[in-house]
Amino acid sequence: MTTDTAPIVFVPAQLRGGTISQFVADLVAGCPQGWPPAMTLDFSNLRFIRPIGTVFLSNLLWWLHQKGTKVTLYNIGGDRSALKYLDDSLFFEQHCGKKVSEAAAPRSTTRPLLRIAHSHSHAWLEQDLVPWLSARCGKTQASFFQLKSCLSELFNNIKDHTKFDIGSIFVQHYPNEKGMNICLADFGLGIPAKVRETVPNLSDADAIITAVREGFTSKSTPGNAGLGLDSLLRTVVGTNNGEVTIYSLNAIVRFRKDANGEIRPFPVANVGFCPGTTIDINLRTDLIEELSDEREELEW
Amino acid sequence: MVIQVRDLVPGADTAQQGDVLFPHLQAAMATGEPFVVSFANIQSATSSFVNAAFARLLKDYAFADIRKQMRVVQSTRQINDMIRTRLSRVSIEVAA
Repeated sequence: MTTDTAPIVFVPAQLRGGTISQFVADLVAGCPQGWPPAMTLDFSNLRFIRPIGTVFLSNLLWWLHQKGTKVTLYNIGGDRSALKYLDDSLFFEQHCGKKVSEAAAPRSTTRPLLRIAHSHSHAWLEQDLVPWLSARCGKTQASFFQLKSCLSELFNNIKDHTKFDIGSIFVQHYPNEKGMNICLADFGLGIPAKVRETVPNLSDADAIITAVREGFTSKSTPGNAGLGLDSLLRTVVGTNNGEVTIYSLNAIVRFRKDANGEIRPFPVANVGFCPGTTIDINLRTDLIEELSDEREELEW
Repeated sequence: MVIQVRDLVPGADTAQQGDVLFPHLQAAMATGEPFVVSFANIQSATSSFVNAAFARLLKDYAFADIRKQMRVVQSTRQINDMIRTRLSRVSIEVAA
């Protein structure tokens, strides 16, 4: 980073969860006097990006925008696959006002990057995401209602725990790997800060681990039954054998089954910084239970 | 009496939507007669919705009375699990 009035920051070659959180930490460390009014992000080094990198980077840009920093994206043209991926994900359309290439278009394997207000999120899940998941995986829509409920809870969290009421979501299907990757981010207070309002003095990682416990609630709103993260872990890790990774403030905690089949937290060491919260959900499409679309009666 | 959830709210996703349903359930419970709640055209329900619409009934009625009077039909496994789990858990908390 230069010390000019508009510093130039180079995006790392690989944008995965760990590398981008370290990138943000370096960015924060490089601005000890506070955020500059303008900044340039140079993409010339970028070679590889995962969905988590797309959502995380997008969330960072919105966070910087909210801090009053105008960010210019530089070296975003050319033939590199990572840049094409970002363009097809509608990343540049969202952050530059238009796509880099006119030919860029969402790929059939993705639901492109979407910045969505809470008021529209539930209808989008019902009318867009669930039918798309059903078609991509060749399973009934009912097979995804449990997951939809978990995502609805996450959007409710964004409304309850952030003052901006907006989240970003991006979904990528990996048919050859039999995987579905759903990334959701907000630039709110962050789970650790929210948890410490109820249980002070926890580290960021311990606060995330506390937040996913069944029955934990910050009691932030009447009727709040908790963050819904326990249900997310039961659905994705417990039932589907998938993985959930939560990035928030100075912690990254990955949840997966241990050798005994129990859901366990695996905190990642030497992490950087994540503004707000980013949740990386990895499902195994071959293990999604197919449920009947037939309606049923509740048996008490 | 049949309460069609979809006629009252577009989804069962938020506590605010639960707040809309709650007085209808409360009024139906007050009759002392059996009644039906239909979730036709609703895919899923969140804990916030179920807490606001259903769990609040436990302030005035025992879980056993709710089960006796209320039938939930045209539902999904997710909605049924959520209602059953939340009411069961909150009834234990109320009793404690």
